[in-house]
Amino acid sequence: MSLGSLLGFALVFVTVAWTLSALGALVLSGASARLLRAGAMAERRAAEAVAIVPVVLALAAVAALVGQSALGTDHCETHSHHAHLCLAHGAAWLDRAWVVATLAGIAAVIAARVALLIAAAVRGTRSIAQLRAVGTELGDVCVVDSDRGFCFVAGYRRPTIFVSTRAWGSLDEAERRALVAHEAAHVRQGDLGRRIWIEALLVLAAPLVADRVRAAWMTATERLCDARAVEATGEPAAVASAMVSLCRMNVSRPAGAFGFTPAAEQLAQRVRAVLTGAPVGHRTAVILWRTVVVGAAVLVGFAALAAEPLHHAFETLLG
Amino acid sequence: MRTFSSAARVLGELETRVMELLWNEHPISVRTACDRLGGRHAYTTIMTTLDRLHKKHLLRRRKDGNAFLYEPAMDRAEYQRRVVEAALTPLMEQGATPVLAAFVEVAADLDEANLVQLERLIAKHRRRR
Repeated sequence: MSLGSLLGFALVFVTVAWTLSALGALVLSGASARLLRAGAMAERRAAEAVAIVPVVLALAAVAALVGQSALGTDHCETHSHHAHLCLAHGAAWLDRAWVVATLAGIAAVIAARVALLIAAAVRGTRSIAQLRAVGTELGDVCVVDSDRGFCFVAGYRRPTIFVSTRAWGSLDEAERRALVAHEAAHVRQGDLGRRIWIEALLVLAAPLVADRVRAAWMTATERLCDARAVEATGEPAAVASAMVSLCRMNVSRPAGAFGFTPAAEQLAQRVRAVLTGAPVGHRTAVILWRTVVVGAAVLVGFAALAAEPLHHAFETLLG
Repeated sequence: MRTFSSAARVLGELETRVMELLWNEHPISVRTACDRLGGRHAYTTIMTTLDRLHKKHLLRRRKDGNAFLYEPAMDRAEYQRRVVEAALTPLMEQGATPVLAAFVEVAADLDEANLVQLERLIAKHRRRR
């Protein structure tokens, strides 16, 4: 096996992963209104599918081609007009400057994304440790003395709800219950762990896809936790009121945000969804996820069974 | 020179005890600090700790004969406020977000009119109930 053959398979991986993730992001955008109506859980599942499926199918395609090369017959003499996707004769990929340059560029982009993700996680974890050290723990809530209005859940090993004294002091009892119920839903759903997995998969997605998928996932997750908070407290007005109150505290300093800065319409959507009792979309999410799993399994099976024609198609396309 | 935000990591156990001591009593020499902490730590350990806190800009010091006298560079409340700000700043930058899930983000185009409209909606909902 040569370095050249690895380049060929890497090119296949990137082609499949980037093409499918870009298509997935387009579908996610196109279906956003429908997903909003279907419910937060359905929208969240759709965003997760766009993060996961392209990587799975790209790995399946590479596995099928490697397997075909390892087990199949040698076809190199009959296809001498393009580079070969095989373990034995892949050196031709090294002769194509555009392949080497493209893959080097993509590797640099992915390495930069990984470095940024790790740096953000390390810095964030350190900051959380600092806040924990100076905050006052009241059960599951850590109250931090600050004149900013914030509330978030953080900590992978010991998830804790961090809330500023200003936010805690400005909310009434019902709003506090709503706030804690919302954040407790994040903890029960394991959202911080899920988020890291999604971020790790999005490192391999096409440019611009990560922001779109992340925003859709975060918005849907917040709406889902709003619904869980309403279920837990039975007070939709308190959940909505807590949201608006916290925004009011920070509206004069919009430069600060813990994640992304959504449009005002998204806050309005959350408030309306809470007050009208919008569906969570559990059933649609189950149907959507089963469809995605079955569809992906069919495509993986197709890749395994049609490895030979797939192999030639990729050689012709890329070689 | 280290800035406060880079230095204001969580203090170690001994550093915290030394800071607590100095917030209650200052200025103080290494020898006095040793005595106040119950003599359980070596003189050099306390000297190193005080020096480290001085380099982190948490203590000021001045010469008194052959020894240094140490005092806090800020009171406890100011220290906590600075730690909170130093911790929040990276969290509020885009890249630090994978470690937390915030209840609300302030929308980019949110203004007073949006908030008033939403508050009216909530009030209307409450009246209907």
